[in-house]
Amino acid sequence: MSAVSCESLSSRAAEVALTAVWAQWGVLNPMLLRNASAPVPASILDPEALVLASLCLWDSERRLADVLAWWAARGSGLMSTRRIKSLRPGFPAERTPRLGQFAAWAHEAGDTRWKADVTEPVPVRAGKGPKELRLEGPATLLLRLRAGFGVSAKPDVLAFVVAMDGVALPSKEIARAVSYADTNVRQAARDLLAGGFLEQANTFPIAYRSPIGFAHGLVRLLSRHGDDEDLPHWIHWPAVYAFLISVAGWEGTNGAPDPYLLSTQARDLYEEHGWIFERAGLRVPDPARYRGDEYLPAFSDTLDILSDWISAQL
Amino acid sequence: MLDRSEPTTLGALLAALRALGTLLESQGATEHLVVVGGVAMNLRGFHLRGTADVDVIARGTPVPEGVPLLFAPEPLPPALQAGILRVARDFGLDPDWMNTVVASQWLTGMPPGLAGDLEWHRFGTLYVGVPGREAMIALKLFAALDLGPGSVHMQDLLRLRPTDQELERAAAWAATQDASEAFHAQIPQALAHVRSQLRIAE
Repeated sequence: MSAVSCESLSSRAAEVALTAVWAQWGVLNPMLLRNASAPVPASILDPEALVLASLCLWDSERRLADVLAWWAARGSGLMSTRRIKSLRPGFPAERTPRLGQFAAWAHEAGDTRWKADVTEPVPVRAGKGPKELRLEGPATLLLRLRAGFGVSAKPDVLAFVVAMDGVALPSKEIARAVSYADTNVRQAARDLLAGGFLEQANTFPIAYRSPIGFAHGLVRLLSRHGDDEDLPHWIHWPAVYAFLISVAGWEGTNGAPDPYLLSTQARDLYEEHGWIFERAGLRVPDPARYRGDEYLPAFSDTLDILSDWISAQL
Repeated sequence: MLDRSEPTTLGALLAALRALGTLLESQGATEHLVVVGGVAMNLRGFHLRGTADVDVIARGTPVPEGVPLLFAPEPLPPALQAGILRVARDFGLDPDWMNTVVASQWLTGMPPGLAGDLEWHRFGTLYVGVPGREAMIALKLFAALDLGPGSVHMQDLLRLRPTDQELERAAAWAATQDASEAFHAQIPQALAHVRSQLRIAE
């Protein structure tokens, strides 16, 4: 595989990631939508993953700094500072140092939770967006639940369980999906169970699900137009973005990368994030079936499959 | 497409060595390894035969204009160990595709002329040293004494077509490897077997 192919992999991954982040920012800030009739994203937006991904892609599109500054001022209160720190190591280390700048903007806007992470802010054209947040559509379910119930594991667990629409899952699975500690998720699930938001399945291990009709009812209740909106999908956006941004980062490696080195990095990424494909029911080539750099074309196919799937979710 | 049911080929091992050398190079590391066995026989061009692993008998430090300094390879440096496992994963090889089992030879001594007649093959920053005929014949005779006339080592020895002088020197060294009478009694039998087989082959 040539250096051109490496560039094509990285530029394709960056393009997919950029398309996804802009589609999601467009949900929060309709002023960013170029096409008002663009399809409404069908998956639940993960604010911490969106911010981390945007910080990583900032160099590719400077406008992301503007929208991040706007979100820091208007929406940082709906974010979990603990969760963003726990998700951060999943992203390429060299691409997330700007979290401190996001913290600076949020702190400047009065959200003192970010104080400990503040670094010198860079000047940006902040404020390009609505002064008041108006969370609409199925993609904002998690943010709306956080807005209503506060930022903790509970709204995230509830959003996930709603998206699963009656499928019972053990707390470990839920914890993995929402990226909170297992103990926090167990406590959240018990509280939500007590409140009647969840029910417990008679399984070993204990599994939780939304009661029959609850998910559709909740989404209908939250609909500002009284529509029967479709249930949003749950995508593990932190892992999806981390995967794409890692591949996008290959562009910046020194010179033309050796095909074998590229292929072994691709296998590492698959080992780390391969469960995304399994969870999404995507059939992608198994790296174990390819020798050395023969895996690269198969990895390119994997990227195509992921890209098509993401497009269908946006 | 990789078929794991197929036996490991020399081509696969050479590709694995190249990959290992590329990994080491990317980390700024350099290694000099002396290998024996099937890979060595093939690299030196003595003959082509199938092999399943790379037998590392020594690590080395090059000496400018001189005989390299060889030493026991164990334990292999962590970067090399990690690289071996990574390459095993990436090429569908056994985790011990490169191993130091044969390095137990250090307990009883290396064959004559090992360090002085190495031929180095470069794979990235991995340098693979292959012994010359004298050391190879000695090692093969010793291994054949252990495993008998039907062993792959005896076949390798025959393919090397040692001269009488080479056989005698190899036998003298082999005799230093085991003090037992039974072992010493085997040496003339093995030499006779080699000579008779070579005569038949002529």
